[in-house]
Amino acid sequence: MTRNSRRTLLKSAAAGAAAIGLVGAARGLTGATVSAKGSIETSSAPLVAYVSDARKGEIVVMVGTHEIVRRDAALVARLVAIAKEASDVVAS
Amino acid sequence: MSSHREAPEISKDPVADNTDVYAFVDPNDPTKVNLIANYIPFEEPAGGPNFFQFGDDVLYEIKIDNDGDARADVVYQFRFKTRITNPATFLYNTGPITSLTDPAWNLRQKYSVTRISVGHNDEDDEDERERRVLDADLASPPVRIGPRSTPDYPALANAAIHSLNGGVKVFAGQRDEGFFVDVGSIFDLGALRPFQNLHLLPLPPMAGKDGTKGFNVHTIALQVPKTELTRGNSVPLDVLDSKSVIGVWATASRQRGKMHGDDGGSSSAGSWVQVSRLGNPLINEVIIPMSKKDGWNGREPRRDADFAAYYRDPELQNLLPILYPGVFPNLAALLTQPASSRSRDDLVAILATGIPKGVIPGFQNFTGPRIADMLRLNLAIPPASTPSQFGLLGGDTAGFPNGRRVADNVVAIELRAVAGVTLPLVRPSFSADGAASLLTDGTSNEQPYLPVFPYLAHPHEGYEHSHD
Repeated sequence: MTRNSRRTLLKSAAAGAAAIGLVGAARGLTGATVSAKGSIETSSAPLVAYVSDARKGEIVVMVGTHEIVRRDAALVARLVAIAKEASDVVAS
Repeated sequence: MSSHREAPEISKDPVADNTDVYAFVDPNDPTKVNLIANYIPFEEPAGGPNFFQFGDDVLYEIKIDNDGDARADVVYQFRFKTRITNPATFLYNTGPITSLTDPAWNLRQKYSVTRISVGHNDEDDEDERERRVLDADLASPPVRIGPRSTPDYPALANAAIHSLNGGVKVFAGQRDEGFFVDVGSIFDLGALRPFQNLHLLPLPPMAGKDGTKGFNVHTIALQVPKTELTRGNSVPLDVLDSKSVIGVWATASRQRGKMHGDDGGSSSAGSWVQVSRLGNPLINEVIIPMSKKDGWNGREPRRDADFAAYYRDPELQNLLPILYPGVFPNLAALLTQPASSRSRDDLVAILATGIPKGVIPGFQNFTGPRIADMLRLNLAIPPASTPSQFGLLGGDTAGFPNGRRVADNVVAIELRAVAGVTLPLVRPSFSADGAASLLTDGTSNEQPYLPVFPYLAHPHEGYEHSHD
């Protein structure tokens, strides 16, 4: 696989992770910019989500200077699957 | 170094590296107190075209505890924002910079100052009671480049001393490195050049060499009325009143996540994570072991009890009789006793709890038994009319370790204390060795301090190359 296509795919994976992270973040984030429909405005602040403990299904969502921890085993399982997909691509 | 490049992680992140903290009653207006926090060690003045500047992505804070629990009751936050006015040039400036609004100045920083009042309902609770932006559009001066680019630097820098409401003054910008130390010799197996003929690996004695000579730092200096810092806004008049004592420390924090973009830029997300802190000089440098230094930097002072053993039995104390054979016989004899029976409670008091009433007549800067690295300042003690650079050891209660003034010789004070000069305060049977009270690295600052705010001298020019 070429460098460009690897990068493209990794970007797609990251975008997927962020989109999934939004669902978890919108429920409990206080003080962040939340639209009337409940979605977080991320145009000005990057959103980062990472799995802090896959065994416990624990994910940390960071946006602006806010940070929340969620337990969501299904979400973490999906992210782990995406990560595995990404690492398989890098290894190939 | 006081706290310059003192821990493995922060040594790779100089913009967030807290190098020195000073806190002292203002000698020109004793109703006010000066709080100074320095960052960015060993700034080479000629380091262009991207000269040193504060980090837009760093949260700089000066914290004050006024009730002895080693938790911040008052916090001053400083946030910086960089602007490039001429994106078409590679130059920092396209002509002489003659004012803070000069169009020839291309890369400039402004900053905000926010005061936060914090309450504590219990051990782990922090309640932000008031957040007040004191100003959000303050100019930082340019760095000092040379006679063509910054021809009248003192005028530029003085224009960047801002007077805010409520009798507050603030300055944030480049300064001469006011901390002096023979770092080249001290980190060569603890050698002090004036006494190195007595070292285990001897060399001829010579005058000390200031390892920071000719370097600059970036300074955040704040002058506020004392009553802005005291518990209940009380006026500190009684030296022996616990409410007269504050604890001061400074920190730098970064957001937990940082993403590097393909365009060379970066963005951050997440909560602020403390990456550097400093109260007393030389604690993380000399007291804390290498393996724990990064962890110490991330820790809050109120959780410093884990480090108490390093104050009670400091490594430097144990090295002195080995590095200088026969010079410290009394200290060497003391060290033959089990560590548990010779705790350096004097150092714990000086550096970790403050000195309680009754140890030094008419003096105290005790904040309670909690071990915590804070610079403790008794605000009821007026400025000295004839300051001693040896502070309390020189009979001057207005100097270190009662706060710290810019000219205090903290290296000599701490060397002497660690060598045993202060041990008789808590162990009357111990006689300090004669050499202990003479210890010095033989350095002084290469240029005079300013007699007025912000007290640290104007920075060196890149052009002059003043290391020579």
